[in-house]
Parts: sequence; C-alpha cells; structure tokens
Amino acid sequence: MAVIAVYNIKGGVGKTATSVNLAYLSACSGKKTLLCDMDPQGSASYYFRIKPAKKFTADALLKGGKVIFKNIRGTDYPNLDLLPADFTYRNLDLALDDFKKSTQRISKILKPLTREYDHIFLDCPPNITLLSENIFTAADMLLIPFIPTTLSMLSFEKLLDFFKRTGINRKKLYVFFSMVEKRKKMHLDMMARFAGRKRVLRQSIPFLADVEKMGIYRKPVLEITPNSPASRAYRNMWREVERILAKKIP
Amino acid sequence: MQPLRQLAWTLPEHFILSDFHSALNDTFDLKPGRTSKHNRSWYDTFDWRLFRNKRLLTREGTRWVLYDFHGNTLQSLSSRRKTCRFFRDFPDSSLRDALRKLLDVRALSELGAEEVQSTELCILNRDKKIVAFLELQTSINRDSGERLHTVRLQEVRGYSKWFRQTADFLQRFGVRKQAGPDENLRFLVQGSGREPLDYSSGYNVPLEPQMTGIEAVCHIYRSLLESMHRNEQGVIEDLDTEFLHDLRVAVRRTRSALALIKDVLAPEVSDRFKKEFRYIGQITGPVRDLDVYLLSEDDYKARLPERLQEGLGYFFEDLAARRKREQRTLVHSLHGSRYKQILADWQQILDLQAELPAGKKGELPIGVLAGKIIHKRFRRVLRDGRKIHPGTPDSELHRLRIEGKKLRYCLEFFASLYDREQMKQLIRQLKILQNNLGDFNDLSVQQEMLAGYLSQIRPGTRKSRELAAAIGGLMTDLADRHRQVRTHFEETFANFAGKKNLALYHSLFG
Repeated sequence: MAVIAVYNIKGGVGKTATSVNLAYLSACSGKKTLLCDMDPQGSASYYFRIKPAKKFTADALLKGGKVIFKNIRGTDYPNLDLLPADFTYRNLDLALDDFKKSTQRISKILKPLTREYDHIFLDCPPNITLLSENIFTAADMLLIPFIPTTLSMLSFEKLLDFFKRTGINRKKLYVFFSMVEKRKKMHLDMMARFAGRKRVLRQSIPFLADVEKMGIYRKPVLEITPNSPASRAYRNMWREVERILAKKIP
Repeated sequence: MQPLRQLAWTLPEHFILSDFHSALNDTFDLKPGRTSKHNRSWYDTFDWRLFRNKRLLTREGTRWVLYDFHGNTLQSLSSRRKTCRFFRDFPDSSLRDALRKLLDVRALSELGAEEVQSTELCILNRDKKIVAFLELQTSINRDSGERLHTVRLQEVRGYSKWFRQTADFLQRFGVRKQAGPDENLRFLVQGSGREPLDYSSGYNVPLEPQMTGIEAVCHIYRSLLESMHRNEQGVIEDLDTEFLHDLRVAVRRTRSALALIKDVLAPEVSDRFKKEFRYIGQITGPVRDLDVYLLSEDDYKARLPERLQEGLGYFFEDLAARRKREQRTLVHSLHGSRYKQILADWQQILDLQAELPAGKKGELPIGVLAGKIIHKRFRRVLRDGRKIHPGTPDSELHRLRIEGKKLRYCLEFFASLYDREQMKQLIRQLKILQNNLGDFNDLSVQQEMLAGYLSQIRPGTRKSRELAAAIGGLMTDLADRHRQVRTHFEETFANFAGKKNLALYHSLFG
C-alpha cells in the first residue's frame, strides 16, 4: 500500500494531469487504485465525468468513516475509483483547524481506505496550508511537478524550507519537470542544473497539446492517444515511480 | 467496502440480438464497449474434484484460469505447455499450489469446449459517464454447435441506482432465471453423456430394509459393475492411477459381497463369479502394486539423506520401466476375451433380476440378513484381535487386517439400512484400526519387495553400488517404522474393542 500525493504550491503546473494519468497507469497494472480529488476546483473529477453527491462536503470528508466509502465512485476503467471533490473543499483549512492533532486528520481518514486499495493518489490544491501539511504527513511519496523556470525554483526552495521547519521527512519528496518546452533555452538550462540529482525523476513531461485534449475528451491522455509522446512520457514516469515505491515499501 | 454486485441471466432461446439491442437503446444511452471472440475449454478430473469444491477451471490458448462459483477469478497463469494434466505439469505458481490440493493424484481432462463471442455495452448517464456494464455472451458448443446466450450486469461503484434500473429492465425483457456460474459447464457437457458429479469413487447404493436379499445384492452388484465399466477406458488410456484403483475397488467389493452375503445368490453362480473376479483382481494387481511405490516416490526420497537419493532415482526409473511393461500386459488382458466375457456374463445374470437364481436365503428381507452378517464379521474381528499379543507372528496381524476389511465392506453395503450417524461412527472407529493394520501390512510388503529387489542387483558398477546403498537405507527406515506401527497396535485395538463400541454393535446388529 502506498499513498502518493501530487503537489505544488503553484497552480497550473500539471498536477491534475499527472495524478489522473499515473493513477490510470497504476490501475492498468492491476493494482486497486483510488484517486482522491482534494482540489475544490474538482478538475480530476471533471476529467472522469464524476460529480460528488450533494451531501458530500468538506465537513463530511473530515468526519471520515462510512461516508467516504459511500462517496467513492467507480471510473470508466477497471481497478480505478475516484473520490470526487466538492466546492466546499475550499474551506477545508478552516474546518481542519477545529480538530485535535489537526495535522494528522487526513492520515486518519485515509486509514480505512488503505485496506481496500494498493495505491491511493492525492491530487492536491495549490497552496501551502494546514491541508498541505496534512497531506505531507499522510503521503509515502510526494511528487512535485516543476516547470523549469526561476520562479518555480523559488517555490521549491520554500517548500524544502517548510519541510525542514515542520520536521517532515524530506526523503518523501520527488521532483520532476513538467510542461517542458524544448525550444526554450531557459528550460533546458534549468534542467541541466538539476540533472542527475537525488530525488529528481529522470523522466520529464513535455508541454504538449495532447495533454490539453484531456479537457475536451474528459479522459486520461493514455486513453485518447495511447502512442503519443505524452503517453509515453507518463508510462516511463510510472515505471520510475513504481521502482521507487518498491524500494520504499517492500 | 461493499463488494460490487454482478448478476447473470440466461436469455430466451429465440432471442435475437438486434431486438434486444434496440430495446436497450430505447431505454438507455448506450456506448459499445469491447468485443471479443475466443475459444475456451473446461477441465475437471473424472470424479469432479474441482466442481465438488465449487471450482471451475478453463483454458483459453495458453492461459489457465481457476474460478469460484461466483465467477471470481481465483488464480490464473499462462503456461507454455499446452497440455497440463497433473498439477505438477503447471509452472510454479499459486495456481499450481491450489491445484495440488484440489487434484492430488488425479489428472485433468477436457470436459468440453466452446467458442465465446462477447460484446460489452456501457450504460451512460447524462454526463456520458459509464454507470453500468452489460456483457452479452454467446457460447457455441464446439461439439453440438448449440448456442447459449447469457447477459451479465456489472455494477459500477457509487451507481447502484443504475444497476437496479438495468436489472429491472432485463427482467421485463424476459430473461430467464439467473444463470448459475456452473450453467456454462452444464451446457458444454450436454451431449457428451456426462453431467457434473455423475461419478464419485465413494460407495453409495441405498437399500430399503424390506427389499429381498436377492433384490438388494442385485442393486449392489449392478452399481459395482457400472463402476468397473466407467473406469475401464481410463485404465486403458492410462490417464491417471485412480481409474485402475477404482476399478480394483469395485472388483474387490464384488468379491467380498459374493463371499460375505452368503446363500442369497445360488451357490453355483457365486462360486463361479468369485473365481472370475479373482482373475480380474490378478490381472490388475501388478500395475497397481507398482503405482503404490511410484506414488510414494517423494515420500521415500524425503526419508533418505541427500547423498543416497540419486541411487533411489535409479530404483524408481527401474520401477517406471517395469510399470510400462505391466501396463501393456494389462491393456492386452482388458482387450482379451476372458475379461470381456466375465463382465458380459455377469451383466446378463444381473439383468435377469426377478429370475435371478436365488440361494436359500434369497427371499429373506435384507433388513434381517444385514444385521446377522455384520454381527458375524464383528465377532470374527474381535476374536482374532483379542488373540494378538506382543509375540504374535506378523501373519496373524495380516489375517486380522483381512477380517477388518470384510467388516468394513459389510458396514458400507448396509449403511443405508441404519442410522447414518451411528454407522459413520462405526466406520470411523474401524478405519482407525484399519489404518494401523494397513500401514503394518504395507511396510511388511515393501520390505519384502526391497529385499527381493536387492538380491537381484548385479554388483560391480557405481550405479549398482549407489542403488544398493539407497535400498539399504530405505529398508532401515521401513523396519524402524514397522516396529513403531506394531507398538501402536495394542492401544488401537483396545479402543476399537472398547465398551462403547461393543455396546453400539450389539444394540444395532446383535
């Protein structure tokens, strides 16, 4: 069992595309997989054409237990389930604050799910809040998509700093380059600086129209164009992630 | 988490796919899913060991799948070998482990084959999200060409309302009762003359107390003769060791009944067939004896240190070669005229039924005869057993074993006339005694056989040295076990001849 969170403090860096495609690949390999959409925008839920039930709100989520199971939905693909996000999730932080041991609430909610699934993916909202801290604690692996620019670099350093201060294990962190444009020299320079470093995935995800088609077809890119460069990149990345997970969780 | 529901129905025979399709289309928003076409074969042992344990085994090409009766896949694997008959023919896997327990020494055989055409239909909601899966399956029996249409409905988590709606729709359309998971198998064996659980190696011939002796033995003999016939082909084709074993058991039971249920059949008939069936016992003996050794190869090997195991390998190679020769002789005898004549004549006599030549007790009710016969056998076992003390020669124990066996057969023949639980209890108790005596006998026979074998080894080569060393090692081990089993006899017999057991025998049959 492994919990894999896809996170970045910044928005629009390809978090949801990564969660959706990697979760899909995990399910394809025969692993029972759950994707939890934690982002109030509900993009992952949208890609799978799933709407949450009216009663399923931030409060219901934090209550945990049976209500979670009741709100899990099967996607169109075998082995892949989704817990949809509700717009009330925008207030998750406030709600979390009311709990004792407020940084461990999400871990506690996920506990019963770990008995049912081999892999749980968390698609996280962009910010650094109490919810993020909860997710850092709950995850076995934190995947951070990272556009190779100076600004991203800055936000990554902030995150490292945050980990140091809060005492969360930094070995969970894995970075990869996302939305890479090969024709931009800055992207290539930035990537060269990071190449070969520990906890930087070798595979990066190019900036491609294929990935954007996901919004039109409302499907994982691997379903729309299974042989496209984008699909190949996700497949390679998943293999790399699987290898890391096998070492982490024997 | 609730497991996802799956329902299956059989569609009416006059069913037309396109009608069904358009009816579905009028009610639901549909999206076609995968379609596939493949050949599938189904397997089980002759005595339905998988089916009995609520398991189904299929092969599609090189892929084997073991299912439970709910249609769930338990184990699956792809094997490069296309023909896997015994569990040991499968590559190391959880499927092989499961089959080892289920099949034991029995071989798999193909029960039937089908061509499966399947079409998946996805039911969509307003967001074009799949909310239920339907699978239409047409199975074409490879032998008969007959078709079976089934429809399977699969729930998608979180959309149970759609599942119910679709199920309601299907029922309105006139689908027949829920297709059991074994329905496909029943459909495939149709016409092959077989049906699930139509053979078991256990003995079960129900009798009524008011039947005359002659009617009762007729039932018994007919069922035993049928068992011989049914196992014959498997013996000839040498599919596995149990065909011969079951055939021999049926012969032995027949011989025992002829000897033990006295004066029911006319003596000239029973005397003749006692001799005839002894002949069948003789021609089938050598192969079975060798089978017993060959089946315990692993056990024997485990008893020797690794250094001696290679020598034992030569021994088993030799036995296997001998078995091959004996099997040829056996097949020859089974094709021979004497064997065929015996069974044909016996059948003819049993077909006479009412005019069967009866002995002087033939018209007495079996309820009366049975108690006397069992009681007599029981007294005999008691008498012989009580005479045995630590110094008694081995031959006396062997005699007692034969007496025990006779009692066992009588209990089985007449079990249906008495209380089931009490009979079970008696048979269980007797079995414990018999196991002890049987082990003792087997170990004596094996030691003798090995001694004979040892004396025939021609000395001089490295191979014969290793062989002799292995046989020697094995003999030491057998002698040791022989002594152990012997020391347990007294205690085992004391239990058998205990007060409670005696009282039960006297109350039932005395």
